[in-house]
Amino acid sequence: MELDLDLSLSPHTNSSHFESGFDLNKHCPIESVASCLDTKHSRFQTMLGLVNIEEKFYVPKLRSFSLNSQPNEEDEDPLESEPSSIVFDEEENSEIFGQPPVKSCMTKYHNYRHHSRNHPYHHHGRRINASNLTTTIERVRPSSSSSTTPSRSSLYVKVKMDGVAIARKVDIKLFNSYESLTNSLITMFSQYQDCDREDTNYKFTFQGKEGDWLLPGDVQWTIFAESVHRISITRDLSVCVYNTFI
Amino acid sequence: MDLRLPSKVLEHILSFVDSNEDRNSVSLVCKSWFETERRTRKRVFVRNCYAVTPEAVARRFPETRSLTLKGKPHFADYNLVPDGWGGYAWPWIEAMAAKCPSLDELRLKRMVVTDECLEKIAASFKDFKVLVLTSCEGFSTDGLAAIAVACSNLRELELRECIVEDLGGDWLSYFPETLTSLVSLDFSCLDSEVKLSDLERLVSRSPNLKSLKLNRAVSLDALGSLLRLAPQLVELGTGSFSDKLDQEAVSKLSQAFSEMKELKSLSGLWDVLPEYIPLLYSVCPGLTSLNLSYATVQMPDLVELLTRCSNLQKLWVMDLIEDKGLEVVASSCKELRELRVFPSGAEGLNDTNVAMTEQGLVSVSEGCPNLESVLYFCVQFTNAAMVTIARNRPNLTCFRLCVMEPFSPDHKTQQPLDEGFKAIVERCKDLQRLSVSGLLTNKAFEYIGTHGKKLRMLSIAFAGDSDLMLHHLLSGCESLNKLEIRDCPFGDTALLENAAKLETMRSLWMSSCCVSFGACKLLSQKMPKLNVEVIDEHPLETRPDSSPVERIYIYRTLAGPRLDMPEFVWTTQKNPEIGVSHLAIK
Repeated sequence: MELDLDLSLSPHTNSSHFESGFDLNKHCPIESVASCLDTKHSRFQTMLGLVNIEEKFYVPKLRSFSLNSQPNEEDEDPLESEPSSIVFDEEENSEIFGQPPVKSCMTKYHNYRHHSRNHPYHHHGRRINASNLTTTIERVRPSSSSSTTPSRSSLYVKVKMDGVAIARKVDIKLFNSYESLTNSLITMFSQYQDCDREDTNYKFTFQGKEGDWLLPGDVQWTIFAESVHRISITRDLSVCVYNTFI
Repeated sequence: MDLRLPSKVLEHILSFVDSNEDRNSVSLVCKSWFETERRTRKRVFVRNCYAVTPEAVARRFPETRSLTLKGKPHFADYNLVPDGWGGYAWPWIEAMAAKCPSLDELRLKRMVVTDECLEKIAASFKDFKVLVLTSCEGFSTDGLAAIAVACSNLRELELRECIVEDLGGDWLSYFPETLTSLVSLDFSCLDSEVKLSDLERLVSRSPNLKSLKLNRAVSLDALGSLLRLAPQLVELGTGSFSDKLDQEAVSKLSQAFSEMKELKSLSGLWDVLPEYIPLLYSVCPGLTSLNLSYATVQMPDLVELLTRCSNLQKLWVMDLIEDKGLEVVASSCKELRELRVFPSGAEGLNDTNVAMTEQGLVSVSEGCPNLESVLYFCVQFTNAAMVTIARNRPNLTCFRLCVMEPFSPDHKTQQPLDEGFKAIVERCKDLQRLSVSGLLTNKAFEYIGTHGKKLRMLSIAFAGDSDLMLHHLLSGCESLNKLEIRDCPFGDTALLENAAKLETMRSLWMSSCCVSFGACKLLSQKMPKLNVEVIDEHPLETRPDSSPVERIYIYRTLAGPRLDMPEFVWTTQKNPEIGVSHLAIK
């Protein structure tokens, strides 16, 4: 079994590039690491110097659901298609996937730190302020497999808000600008969660194909709309995250 | 002369045969016994929903009252099975609705249950009584409403750790005023608040209510009024235990608890504040089961509680209890049979403050003569401790040790934990379930293969040197039924050499190991009674035979390949384009 220790600090720590997803050629999962959402670079730099930090924070993975808004759901034959009402978020913010082996009802409740001094895929995750809430939107797995990505008539991405157990899905294709999307998301959540609609203290970040976390406006909307994988909404601005590779 | 027993007589005799194991034997005697048995079987257990078709089960046991089904592999609990893999309840409900109208109990575990399923249950089974869903998903509170409104003789509705699309708390109000048969209600996994008045009315018109497990949204204040309405409860799951109450409310709540003379099981206790722990003192002596998995109080408070629980048999607690707290358990809870210690993710995990070590478990193994089942998350362990535990408790039947850091050696000697696990399997002759962790070499698995003769379920993660380890297990563990492995360097050789073993087991799960694509194909070609599922999110058509696959799930089946596989599950039957194996045939 390959032991794959990444011994260099990531050169992209400022803009926080991350690998995500399963690299099957290495036949072992590569853990995705959360992004630095804040501009507190100085703190970030300080953390980089602490090469022996072994503590990591898990953000507990939340399972999520879609609204019943997928177009092809009406004729769904439960035998043939996957239940479209549930989408797992497999890779979000986990260092070692599925460690510790605790059920999601508990990970939902506790924040787990995982020490993996010895683990071959050892790297540090993010530390999150206790009051930080994040939401992620993840691309729903397409129901037909294809190695090329055809342009879709709809692109459903999952929206998840930390502290809210249930994620939502939204069709990115229905929007034509960042503003319309973000407004819609706020409306959607305030319907379900009694969020303060007027509270403009929302911070949106988007994760693209490469795993980069970007702010609205970083890329052109059209490019964004084709490549977005996750969207993150934070309500607390005092986010402190860092990422250190050992 | 016709020597056959009249079927009515045989039926009467068989009505005394309860266990399905015995009934299985009965059914093998001869055709008439098979026929009589199948027409009188009342409870059916299908522990892998893909091992047999729903139609076959429904056809064979038309009079069945109770069906228990399990779907996804166990590792799905830790998110290792991708979403959409399968485990759908619908075909079963459809088949039972068509052929088994007497069905009144359904127990599902790790299955996908949709609202349509729940509506179908409500519509199809006239006298439906029991619905227990454990670790299920796919339904919303609307489905619950359908059950509530239609099942006029409902006795049990339990949602244990399900993932439910929570559209609000209205579903509870759909229980009609005429429903008075409720014995057990568990909605602890839901998030939304239910209307307290609905809940109170439901509870007051349910004189047989024995088990009530509330969700976190039910306040402490509300709990008081509910307890006053149902002092006869045997099992209670509280809601949130952290609201600030005034003195009067506190004393009323205390009074309510002291009225609960029958209470045996207590759970919930989300966020319990230390000052409320004394509220529970009055029920402690009667408790046989206590679940403190969500009680985030520190060791001294936990100890105060546990010293009073002299009859406790089952304790689930977080590592906040620390070794010291477990010492108290060892001296106070002499009847203890099952202990689970979960990680809290508490601060200071690397410091000495909250750090579960081997000491705690050793104390309990010394003090609790009836201890037979252990699940223990900790940061470190030693071989010596395991030897001691094995010596103290040869009656262990379930030993699941999770040293959280993968590859952790014995923290005193820096040796692998081989000798410790050897002691466990050697001494605990009735051990049926084992999970290993820490640094382990081939030796550990040789020991397990040699001694673990009664082992039925084995879980392995981040262990091993080589394929030989898997070979020891498959060739040695005679009773092995379920084997689940992740992140171990196990590959083709052991799997192919022990292919026949796989037909004697319920299932084998391997993820992030080194099993090649070619081996999977070969296994699939040679073993028609197995479903060999390759669960891999990348296309396999162009993969060379030598390339490893991400996950495999192999299980014996009478049903043949299933029809509901998503695109990321590959079998040679579903995906003939992946071709035949080019591996040398042994």
